[in-house]
Amino acid sequence: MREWEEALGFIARIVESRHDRGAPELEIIGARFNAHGPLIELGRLDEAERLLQECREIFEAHRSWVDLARTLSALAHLYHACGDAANAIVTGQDALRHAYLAAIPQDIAISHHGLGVYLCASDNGVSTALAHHLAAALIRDLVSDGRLRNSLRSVGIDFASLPSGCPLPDTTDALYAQMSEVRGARLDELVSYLGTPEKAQAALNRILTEAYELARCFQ
Amino acid sequence: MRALAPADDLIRYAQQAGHGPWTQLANQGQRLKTLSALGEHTPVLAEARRLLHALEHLPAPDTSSETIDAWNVRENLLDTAG
Repeated sequence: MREWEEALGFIARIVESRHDRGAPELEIIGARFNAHGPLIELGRLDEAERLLQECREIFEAHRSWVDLARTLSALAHLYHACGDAANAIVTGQDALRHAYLAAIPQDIAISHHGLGVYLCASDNGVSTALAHHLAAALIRDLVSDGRLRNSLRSVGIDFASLPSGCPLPDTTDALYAQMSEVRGARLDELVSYLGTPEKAQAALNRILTEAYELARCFQ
Repeated sequence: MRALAPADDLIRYAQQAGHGPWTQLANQGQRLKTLSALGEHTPVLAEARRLLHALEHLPAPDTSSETIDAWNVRENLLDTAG
């Protein structure tokens, strides 16, 4: 707890330094944005939401898609933490759309993963959650992202709770088709930049095999 | 730790080249950033506190021996600590 307070102190000093040297608004709000995590950890949720809404307005005005996507992801996480599943999903979808606009694979994977978590917590959302977790895992595998393990674990949990007979997107084409229904998500286009179709399918096969193994632990 | 080797090299070369204390502190800050990326949060926070304390006692930067602005060193260290 004391360390989160200390983190807020460090961030306040960065903000002060940027003010003092006349840094641009984007740099100052970029530093302030980092306070949302400690605020959430300290249970100061209203303050965290006000901060993120302010960040959202400024990043939107500057058309800074990377920062906007990260802000929306943080907001979605906050709504999820408050138990507001509907808002978490809508904001998570918005985060994903902006992450694709920003075109940073690691951020896109974070948004897919987050959306999977929020859908999983909603009624009848497991099969869509699974598709988002698979998309996150596929991207993370192709860019050697260290968070692949988290995605595999989530896919494993989805497998364990999936109703029997529910179709699985076990080919990249099936996964792309499912993701094409999500506004702004262009998974097929992104993956084509990250590897050949054969490499992508091999990655998906690997993910499915490992997730099946993990699913046994959750059943 | 292999990931830290480039940062350790940089610290050593900057000392050999006679760079000023702000630049040397910046290099230690870079090493800390790498350590933070490796998930070593507890030692990172302790070292960041120590470096921030040291920074407060440095003389004003001498532009002939420094390759980095003071605000840059301070903000990077605070960012890693936070």
